[in-house]
Amino acid sequence: MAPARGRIGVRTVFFGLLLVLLAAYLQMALGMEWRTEAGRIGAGFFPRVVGVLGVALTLVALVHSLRDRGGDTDERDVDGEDAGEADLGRHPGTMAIVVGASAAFAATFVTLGAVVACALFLFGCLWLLNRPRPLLNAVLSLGLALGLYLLFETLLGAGLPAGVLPLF
Amino acid sequence: MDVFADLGQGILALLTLQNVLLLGAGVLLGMVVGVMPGLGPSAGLAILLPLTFALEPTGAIIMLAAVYYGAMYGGTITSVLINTPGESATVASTFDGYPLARKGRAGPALVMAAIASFVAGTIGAVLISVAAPATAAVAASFGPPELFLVVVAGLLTLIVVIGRNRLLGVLSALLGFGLATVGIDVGSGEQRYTFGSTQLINGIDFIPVAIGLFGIGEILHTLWRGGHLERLGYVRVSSRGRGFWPNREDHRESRGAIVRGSFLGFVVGTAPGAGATVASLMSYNLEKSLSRRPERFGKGAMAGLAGPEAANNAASAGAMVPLLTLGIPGSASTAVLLGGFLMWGLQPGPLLMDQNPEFAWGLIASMYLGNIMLLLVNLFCIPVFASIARVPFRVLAPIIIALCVAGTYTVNGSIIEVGIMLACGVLGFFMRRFGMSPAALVIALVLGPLAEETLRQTMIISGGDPAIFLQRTTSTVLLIVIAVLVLIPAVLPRIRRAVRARLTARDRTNDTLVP
Repeated sequence: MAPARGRIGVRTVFFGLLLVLLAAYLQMALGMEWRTEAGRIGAGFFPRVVGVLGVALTLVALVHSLRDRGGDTDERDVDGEDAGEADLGRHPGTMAIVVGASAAFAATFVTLGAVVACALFLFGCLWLLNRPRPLLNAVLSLGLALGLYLLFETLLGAGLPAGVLPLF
Repeated sequence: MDVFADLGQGILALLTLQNVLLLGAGVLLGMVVGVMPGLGPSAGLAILLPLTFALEPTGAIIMLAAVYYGAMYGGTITSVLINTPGESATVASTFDGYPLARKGRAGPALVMAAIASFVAGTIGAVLISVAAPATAAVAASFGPPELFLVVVAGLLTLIVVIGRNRLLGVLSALLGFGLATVGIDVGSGEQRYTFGSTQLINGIDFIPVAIGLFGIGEILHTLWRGGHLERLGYVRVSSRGRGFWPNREDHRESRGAIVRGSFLGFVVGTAPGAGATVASLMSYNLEKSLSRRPERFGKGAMAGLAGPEAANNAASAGAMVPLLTLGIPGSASTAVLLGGFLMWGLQPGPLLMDQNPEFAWGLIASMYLGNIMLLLVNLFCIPVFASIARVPFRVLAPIIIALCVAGTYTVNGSIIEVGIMLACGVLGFFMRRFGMSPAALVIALVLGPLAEETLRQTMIISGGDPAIFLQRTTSTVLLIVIAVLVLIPAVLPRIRRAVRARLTARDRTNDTLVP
């Protein structure tokens, strides 16, 4: 679905943000040495080259997206990766909720602990995506959270935060 | 011959119980990754990387390499049964694989694909055994100017060949180079872009970036396009009965296609960026043009499945040559593998085969054994893996995200890296959506320090004079290659237009001559 002409599309916002980030990157690079006193390449040489080229190319991409505002389409499936996939519409809302849930999962990972945070995250996401099967979702959430913990903690010896579990 | 002696040494290094078990686990995990909807080899490798931390380096790399080529095998199952390629390299397998399944020939199609993959994988392993030492010997004469130009040429090939949007491809690589500059500058000891954070002094680890861009980015993209609502048109496959096996006609039809696909795939795979997708599509077109009955292609021609399958597996073997001998990854998957190498202190490049022969040859030897394992697994467990392909994405997505979060945390016990991983996931989604290349970003991130280091060394050698690139034969040749790569996008459309115009003019002339 193309946004109405005159409105700024997601693509334009994306390249706008990228431009701001790269401009800040370049500005910091300009504060670094281009050459050392011994005449060698300084710490700022590579960042300046990357920054200048990055800003220039992002500007071009931004201008393209502004010119093409009426056709703010996605450049997907150019290499055929989406071949055979049905067109099921676009679901930015669902995706945004999952991103938010993932961020909350990461934020509570240490305080709540891996098992509790993981179980809550899995149950929340499965409730959103697989709503007709609440019992299966609950069993999967708990079982998989414990399974992941055992896999990393016991089998692989990698430390995961215990969080609130030792309190019980 | 040295090759046989080295390979024998590699086989001996491989044949420990632990390594064989890890190889088996790798091929099985690779198959699972391959059949999972929405996960390709690069995402699978990135997600599974943290699981190998507890292992010793040789075993870990053998396992990861097995995941890589196992995923190539596995991707075919979804292409044939549900017309959904796990990743772009198996797109060509849907053209005739799915029509075969619709005709009730899913079993023969999958068995033939497994045989093609096995033959190609084995031919690829033989060719690596010959090509890798030869390439390493040539690369051993490379100095910093050549290595810098190889990095640039590798990235340019990736951008030109993948060719979605070349401007955005270059921008993606620049973002990777930009991220690579975070941390301490080796030349001056100065901190860059660390903002006083001790966590950033060592730079941005590539693992959270790779897991985010490939793993989370892929999941978000599939959610965005409604993958959670998908009801897959699944074709059943049963190993019972004679109908499961290909008949004599299938074998006769596929034989030539498999051999041609294997050699074509290997050669194409060695070029950075070209890789398995281009190889499989080239093989499909080649088989169609050579066929006496090209009208059957797209409707269930066995050669149309066997050729591309052989090509994509041989290409994944071919991609190991620049990785092992130059330290230059040609694809997203080999970039993740390179990250794994570096993590264990192994520097792929011309000296790897001299300094770590057990490791390098053990890895090559593992490809022979891994292909045999994959053939057996494929022939006897196809229905099992086919049932994994039926796990709906709506259940799989949260599980993969949880695995990504836990896996990233275990790398350094850092929640900041988890945040970086999630941010890269969102970035990866937008990059995919707007035609940028996450693969170019990751490869540039991994190669950034090498590019900067070799450029610095080049400038020290030459006293700051860039003319050094023109004073050495090899670097001049590489500069010509780079110039050609830059000119291809500009010149190719004009050549195409000119050829088309000439053909149209000729057709018109013929039409007027025919009474």
